[in-house]
Amino acid sequence: MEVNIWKRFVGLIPGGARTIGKVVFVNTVQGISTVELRDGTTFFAKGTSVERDKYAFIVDGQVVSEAPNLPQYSVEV
Amino acid sequence: MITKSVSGRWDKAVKTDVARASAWDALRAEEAERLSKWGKSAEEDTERFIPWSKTKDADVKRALPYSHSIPEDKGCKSLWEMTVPTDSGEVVSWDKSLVVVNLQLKLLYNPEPAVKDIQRASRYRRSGEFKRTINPNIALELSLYVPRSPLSFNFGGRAYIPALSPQVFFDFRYSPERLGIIPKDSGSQRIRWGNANQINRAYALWWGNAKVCNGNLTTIVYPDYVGPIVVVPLPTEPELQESYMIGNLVTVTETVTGVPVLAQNIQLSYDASSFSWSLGMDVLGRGSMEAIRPDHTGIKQVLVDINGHQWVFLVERYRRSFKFAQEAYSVTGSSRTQLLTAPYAQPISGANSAPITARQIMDELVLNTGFTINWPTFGDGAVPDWTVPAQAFSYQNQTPLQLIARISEAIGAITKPSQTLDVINIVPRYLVPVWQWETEICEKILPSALITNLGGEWTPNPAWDSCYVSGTNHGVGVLATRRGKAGVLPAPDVFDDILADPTANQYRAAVEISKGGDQELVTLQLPLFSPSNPNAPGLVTAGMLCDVREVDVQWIGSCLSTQISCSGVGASVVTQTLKLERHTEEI
Repeated sequence: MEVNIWKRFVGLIPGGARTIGKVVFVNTVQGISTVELRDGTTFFAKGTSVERDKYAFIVDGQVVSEAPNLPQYSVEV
Repeated sequence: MITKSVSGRWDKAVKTDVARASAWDALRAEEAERLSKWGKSAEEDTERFIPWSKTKDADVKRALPYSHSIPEDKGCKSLWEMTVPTDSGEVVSWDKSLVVVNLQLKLLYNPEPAVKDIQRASRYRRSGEFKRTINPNIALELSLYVPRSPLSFNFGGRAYIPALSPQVFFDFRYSPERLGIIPKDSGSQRIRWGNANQINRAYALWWGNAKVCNGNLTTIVYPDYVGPIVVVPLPTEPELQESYMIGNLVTVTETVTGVPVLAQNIQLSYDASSFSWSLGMDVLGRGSMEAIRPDHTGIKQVLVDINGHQWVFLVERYRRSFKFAQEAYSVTGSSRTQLLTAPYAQPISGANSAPITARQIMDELVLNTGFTINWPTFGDGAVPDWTVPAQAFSYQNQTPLQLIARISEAIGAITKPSQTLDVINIVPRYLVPVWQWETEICEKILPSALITNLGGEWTPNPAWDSCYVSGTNHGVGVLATRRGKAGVLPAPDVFDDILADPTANQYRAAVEISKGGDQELVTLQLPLFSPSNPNAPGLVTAGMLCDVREVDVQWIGSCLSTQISCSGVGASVVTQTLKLERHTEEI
């Protein structure tokens, strides 16, 4: 839990949610990309700057840039 | 991880026993000749021809067993072929996660009696209520005459033999009255139901993850552990008393000249998201203000001493207001770590061109500033260090303290300034993950007898059980799942340029998961005891794990912020207000 007033205020500002998804389809006519998330769900993100079968940074539902294919680990804490 | 994935391999059976199939063949007609013996007998005795006639038909049937084998027996040969295809789908699924349904098993222990039993009183019989209780000492007093003054006996050097009928004689024998078992009434007439006393809690066996503690106290050699051994100090057990008399001593002096500063309403505060203590106070009189007013030599520093706890503050800004018959100065200050940020330090830009550890980045940032970094990477309260790949840490127009806080925040730690020294401590925000609090040694014990004020604010939160932490352009991505959980409720993803190591990402994920779950923000107020008092908790700061013992419940919380207030002039009242994070979910 956050008790710092400034941090609490920053937390109230919407947006900024960033995630990485795999572009499975690019619709250049409508300007949207079909992105598959890590858990298998797909959604449509605005922007076509990333090619198909590449990973992309998605910020607030918009394709921002291409993301590298980093090595993945699965651990327990 | 002990569990390994195991799978079986189904393949075609080897046809090693094909040769046996040939054994099932037609029987040889070896005894076919016996059939011919059952033919017509020779007509030697024609007269006796009648008895020797054709045998009965029933006997003829005995020849039938000696024939070819039944064709259906040949079908056994087809069994030595491929396995049934349905069995190939049977794969033993060894998974790391537990089945969710098994997690619901828990021990329901409710010591509370049933409602109908709460009002039930014990049955007792009055017995011997008015019977006199005989005290053996009093009985001895009453049975014998005990002379009050010393007596001198003179028997003329002979043994004292009492006469048979003298006027006075002594009898030293005493035989106490033999009393039987005397029933007594019970003291209370009501059964009291309550929680069991939690005594000797420190002696309980803690089953949990092994950790390095008390290593110096034993002679056990761990062959598979070559790291350093850190002794974890046990918390001070407070000595509870009926009343406490605290004589607070608060002094404020200028650090260089040692000039005392007259001040009142002193407020000190620090929280886990800050990187410096802050000070607020009202200065009395122009003379005191002149001693700490910034001049051509720069800004001044004050040393605040409260009951033996010391802080050094920069006098950052002050306000003054004059009106007739009144002169007021209000001063605010902060720790010396503020010298590493604006407006005292210039923003810088740069990047790492070679792989470098996070600790080395911090050391480089405070180089030639007089500050040092204290980052324990082993033992209790350690924060892991990791290697940042080349070009992963780049910054533009940021002050050194901002960068230190950024690295510290990336790993999920607290930037904690030293109170008097030029040292920046990197300490964990959660000493251990929340679900391991019960087995962790707390740093402070706060009994209810010392808590003067207590308040709580409960807020619901999703109970996250997994988190994905990844670097952006470098490093690795780590999906961390809480042990024993299914990982179906992930916390928001965390992306940071410098989180490029599996260990660091795993540590950050544990911090993020710990932030979830239903929580209560508990506000405690207690006196600020001297650090020389071994039987009191003393100063509690952010990041410390506290064992709070309320009247009817005991819980563990992590300190988030500290505020110390000294009100009044002269014998001021010093209170320490803490905010603790208490997790109310079932761990």
